[in-house]
Amino acid sequence: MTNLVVGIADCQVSNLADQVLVTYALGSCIAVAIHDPVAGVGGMLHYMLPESAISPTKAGENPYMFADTGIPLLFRRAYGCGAEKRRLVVRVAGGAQVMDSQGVFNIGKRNYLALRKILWKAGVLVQAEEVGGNHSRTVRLEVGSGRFWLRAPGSADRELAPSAGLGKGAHPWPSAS
Amino acid sequence: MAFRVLIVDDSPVMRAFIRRIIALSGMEDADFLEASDGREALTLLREQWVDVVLTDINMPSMDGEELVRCLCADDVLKSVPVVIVSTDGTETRMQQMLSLGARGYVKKPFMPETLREELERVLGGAYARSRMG
Amino acid sequence: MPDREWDEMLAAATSEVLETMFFTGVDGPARAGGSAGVPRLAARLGFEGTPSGVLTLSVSEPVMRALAANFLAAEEGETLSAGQLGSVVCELANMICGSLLSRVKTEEHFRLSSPELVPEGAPGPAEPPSQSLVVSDGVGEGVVDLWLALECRAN
Repeated sequence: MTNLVVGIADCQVSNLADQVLVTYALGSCIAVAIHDPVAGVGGMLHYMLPESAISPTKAGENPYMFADTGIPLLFRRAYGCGAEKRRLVVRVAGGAQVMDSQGVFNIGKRNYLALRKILWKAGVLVQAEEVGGNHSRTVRLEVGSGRFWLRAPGSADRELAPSAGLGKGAHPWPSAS
Repeated sequence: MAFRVLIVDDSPVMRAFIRRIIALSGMEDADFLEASDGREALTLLREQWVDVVLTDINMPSMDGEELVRCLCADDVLKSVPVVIVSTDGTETRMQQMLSLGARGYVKKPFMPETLREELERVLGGAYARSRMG
Repeated sequence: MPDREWDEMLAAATSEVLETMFFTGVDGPARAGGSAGVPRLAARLGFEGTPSGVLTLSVSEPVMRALAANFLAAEEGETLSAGQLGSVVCELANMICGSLLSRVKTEEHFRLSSPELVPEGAPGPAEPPSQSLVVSDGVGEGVVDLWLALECRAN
């Protein structure tokens, strides 16, 4: 299998069964991975910030930087390769509570809330996710099989199966108050 | 025959929220019935079969606890699975409703996927078969 | 239970509800008078148990429209009716109250009344809010005020 790297503020979509979409060092950023098992299409977006309104110029230069511009594009590109919305398996990772360059702690949570709002309004439910915490993650999506793998620093690879669900645990971020 | 869901909650927007989740879970062709309290729900259930009931607890006229008691006391209706969707998230309330006969429990607030997963757990094969059309 | 503990639970309950079903974060406490002059929507409900009490919620209207749009999965630019807005404010108050009471360590069940909209222009509670929280949806921000009036509130 060959790796197709998804960089920071980047998106890749593939219908080549031997490709693996991989993105590294997800801190407060979020990776959205989608896969259509019938069309054999996989896509992955790695975004940094929740809302493009804070910088429309940057969003124009690179829509993948923001959740609200990147996520719709990810889905549209997958549809362009033959994926269908109702068949898509959606998995999410990242959104860790790390200090970003502005010293803001809660960007991970904001990224996650933006994702949830966009997916809910678009009529898409998530099959599995691993978000929050305070460690970075590396994730990969096998286009051929649809399998999704997570790696945290110092840990072995773990598969995040579609049936993993969201669990019923407490929020992974401390509340603001 | 389409999967038939009865949603019982005195909030019309909460009923709409739940309906959307079920539709997005692959059940967009389901038949949805709605009631704003237990009394309305019982009337509907005595007129037509449903495959699952999702009900709040705190409602005027007849609350969810009384509704579950009535369903479980009825020889026919006791086989209809009931999932509680309530703001009461205490362990005691959950255990009480499950011991009265409810098959599932989702505490508000909930993520859409949490309700989907609880329905899949409670309904198992019936739900999967209906989703395959 | 001391007032401070109730107020902390109220803030935690509000955060939980807004994040989980309205996809909106709480940024922290609001400064006094921060939302003066902005039209607001308010709902109130009572609860019976140990203790009994009343929860009142007031939200600046622009924020409440954004929250309702999130909850109802409304499209960008879609106009929500007054009925829809009112129903969402009431359900928000209902869920915050339920989430709050679920945090009280008791074997007793609380009984919640149906929430009611507070008529526009009606005077709000005289005392300052128990919690005044800034919420933002990434585009704009507003204030959510909550009053928790408990019978025989402990010191």
